[in-house]
Amino acid sequence: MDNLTEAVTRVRSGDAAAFQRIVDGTSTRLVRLAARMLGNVVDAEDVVQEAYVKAYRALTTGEFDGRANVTTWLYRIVTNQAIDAMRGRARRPKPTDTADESISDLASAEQQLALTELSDWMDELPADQRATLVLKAVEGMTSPEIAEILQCSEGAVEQRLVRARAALRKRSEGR
Amino acid sequence: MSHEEDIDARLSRLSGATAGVRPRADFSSRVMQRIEAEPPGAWFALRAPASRFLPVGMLAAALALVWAVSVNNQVNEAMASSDDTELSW
Repeated sequence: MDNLTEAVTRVRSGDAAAFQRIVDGTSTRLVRLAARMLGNVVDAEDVVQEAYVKAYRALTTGEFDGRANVTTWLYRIVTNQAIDAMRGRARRPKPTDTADESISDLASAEQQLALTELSDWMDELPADQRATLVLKAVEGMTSPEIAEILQCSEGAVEQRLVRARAALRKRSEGR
Repeated sequence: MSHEEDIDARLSRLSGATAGVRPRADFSSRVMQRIEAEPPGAWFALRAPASRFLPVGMLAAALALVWAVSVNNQVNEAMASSDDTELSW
């Protein structure tokens, strides 16, 4: 049994402190994933924190039965939270000082610039296409892995990738 | 370079440029503060009393079975005797 699976078993049996091991073992990857989708570390931390609370509730209520891979399950919760956040943000006016606020000690200036560039470039993509493209081309996941995270078919993953690339191509041609 | 190559090259560059992104140092402790503030799950609230009442439940089920068998025997005896009465008429 690996460290994460053992921690999950302990949390399910009532040991809340064991959740710390799950956070320590996954938070860097999950915050990076969310930051790549949302364009800044502040929003990414909020999304991942909410995802952890959801995961903890699912463990303590028995909703998560422990049969699925823990990392994939957490990626799924974070991705869904990030998609909801992107959709919510699309309905609100864009704040002007997000980048400046999150540069401070969260990420280096170069990293924040790259996150902002990624976010601005994909800004017009629908949230599900954006998430799929980040998982594939930025996180380096395979289509079957993405299909498992997004709980859709591999065909749907490929279709979203084709559409996302076509939209980005059209955008660069329009310049 | 084609647009497709442009897209892949740019995605690859941005992937590398964001590879070092990580949460703030106190992120883990902030998450744990939220977790500790969570009420105990309904799962635990249900599981503890359920295990406590299991022996009592089993005893009640056994007594109910004995009572059912006994009542069944009484009914059978009563029916048999009523059949006898009917025959004697």
